[in-house]
Amino acid sequence: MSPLMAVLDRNPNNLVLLGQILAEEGVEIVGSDSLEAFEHSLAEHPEADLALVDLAGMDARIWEACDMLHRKHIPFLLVAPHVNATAQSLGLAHGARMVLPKPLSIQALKATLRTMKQG
Amino acid sequence: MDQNAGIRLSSGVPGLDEILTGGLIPGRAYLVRGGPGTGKTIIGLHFLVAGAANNERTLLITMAEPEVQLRRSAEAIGFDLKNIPVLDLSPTSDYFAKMKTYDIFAPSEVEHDPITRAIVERIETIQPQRVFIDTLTQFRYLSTDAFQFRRQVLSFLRYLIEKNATVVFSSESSERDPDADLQFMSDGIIHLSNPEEWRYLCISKFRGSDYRPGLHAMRISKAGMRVFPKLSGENYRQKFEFDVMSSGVTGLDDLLHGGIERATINFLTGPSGTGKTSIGLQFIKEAAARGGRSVLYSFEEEIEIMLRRADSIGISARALKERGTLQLVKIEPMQYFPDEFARIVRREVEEQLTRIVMIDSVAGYRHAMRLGEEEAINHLFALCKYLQNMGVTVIVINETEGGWSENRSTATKMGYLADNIIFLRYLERRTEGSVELRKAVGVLKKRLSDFDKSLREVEITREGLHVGKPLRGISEILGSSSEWEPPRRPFLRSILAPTGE
Repeated sequence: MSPLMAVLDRNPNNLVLLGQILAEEGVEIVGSDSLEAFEHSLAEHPEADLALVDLAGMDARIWEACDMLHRKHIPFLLVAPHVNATAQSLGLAHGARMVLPKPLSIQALKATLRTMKQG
Repeated sequence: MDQNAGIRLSSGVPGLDEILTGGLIPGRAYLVRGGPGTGKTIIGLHFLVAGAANNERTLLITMAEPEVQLRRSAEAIGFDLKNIPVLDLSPTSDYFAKMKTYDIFAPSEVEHDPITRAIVERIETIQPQRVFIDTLTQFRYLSTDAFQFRRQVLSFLRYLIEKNATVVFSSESSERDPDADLQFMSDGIIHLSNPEEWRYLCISKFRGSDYRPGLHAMRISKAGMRVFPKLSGENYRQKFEFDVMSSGVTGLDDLLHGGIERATINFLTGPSGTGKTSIGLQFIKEAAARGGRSVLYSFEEEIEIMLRRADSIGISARALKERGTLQLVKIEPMQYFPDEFARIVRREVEEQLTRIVMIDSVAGYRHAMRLGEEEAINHLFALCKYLQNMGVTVIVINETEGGWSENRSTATKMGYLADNIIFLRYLERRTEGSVELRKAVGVLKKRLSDFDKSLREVEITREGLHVGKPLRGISEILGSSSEWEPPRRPFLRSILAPTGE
């Protein structure tokens, strides 16, 4: 069965692209463009194997969502337009496996996901 | 051995093939670069239309301008692109209206593959012999770095050439994104520029071939682009005899020891009103009587005035015009570029077999072409050398403002250009109780024969030109002043200084 990844990103075009690119890795995504939709999606898909959260456009409530992912033992990546030391340490403190700057390298993302699936 | 050796493809741009010594070499990639509005796309369209007219398979790849707009713009300048397939890779309006932007991945990673697939698919289907890419600069944004860009472009061009295409591609160069890498990668470079109101084209690279260097003027109109190759007189030769052409005026022929030779450059120099144009017309009249065709290019006087002036001195220029042995052309200021004018003259010589060309005047030419003094001399030199090499006799009218010092200055600046210099000046003829203004003519230089060193009075009347016997008693001809005191003869004094003394 294909791994399922829950994705939160305010830009629907990012969701479409991620869906296309990750399908090549055999990963199915469930995309949400708001925090509420993301929480609802996680409730509907408790079997989600991975998650990716784009911090662009999110408010402080995003950290609660990160804590929830951590509690559910769903490994997740955080991506942001700029990643400084504060964002890095906050993300890791809230359970993220990695905090990556945008734009992502497609090959690097695929390699990271492979590692996360195995781990 | 290169299977394309000796074969050339027409660029489709009038005048450009001459600069490229025959056209583009097939199976190569050529860069057209220049700022906005310089005509890069137009050159590409000319290239494809020429191929289509020759039943060659063509393809236009547009990265920025949508196909609809491109076809409309092409139609506006007389191009019919109906037989030219277009691969439109420009962004659609959806991209903006439906917010199709993304930032999760770089465009170079997302767009590259789909664009490449679209291009390969079209190339494999059409197998084009001519490809125009407008503009290759867009590929830069599909590459992760300069190294990848270079490799991708080289690989892309090689792919097209291996498919037997000849490629023309444009680039948008700016300070932020210079296109030096594309220049290195191309087999030839065509630069376009439009400083102020002029347009220019020049070639800086053309692998495997010679080309005509320098800046060549060009025009863009409703008929597309036309280039006017910089005239190089030495590229043209014709065999002819140096026949002597009589002026038909005895005294003038005596001064010249028979007349002026064919294919010589003759300067008629002197102040306004001394008869330079009249003497020029006299030579033309005599040439017409022998069946030779002449063209007079006037940069100052209207044609009707020239015809009336000729009538007033007994030269029936109207009759010559009707017979086709004389063509009078008025050139308006800023009507032509210098090389554009040269092309008009060339057509007269090569198609109408014109034997005498008269340019009235140097100052008028310079003003009409908006040239500095040195530029005007250089252009005139090239034109006169072409005419000379084609066996055409050239008469150039040069007006000077003052007295002899001006004539000497002319001789110095233009001396190397002229084979013969005939000068005219005013004289003051003093008799008891009165002073008359008279004109005199002399020869300063004659390259192919000796000449009479005297000064002679010239009269221009209804009956025509009359040149008298040598004036005796003049103390100086080349100095700043001259006095004539013949024994028991009226006293003549020359006007050489600006004040007329």
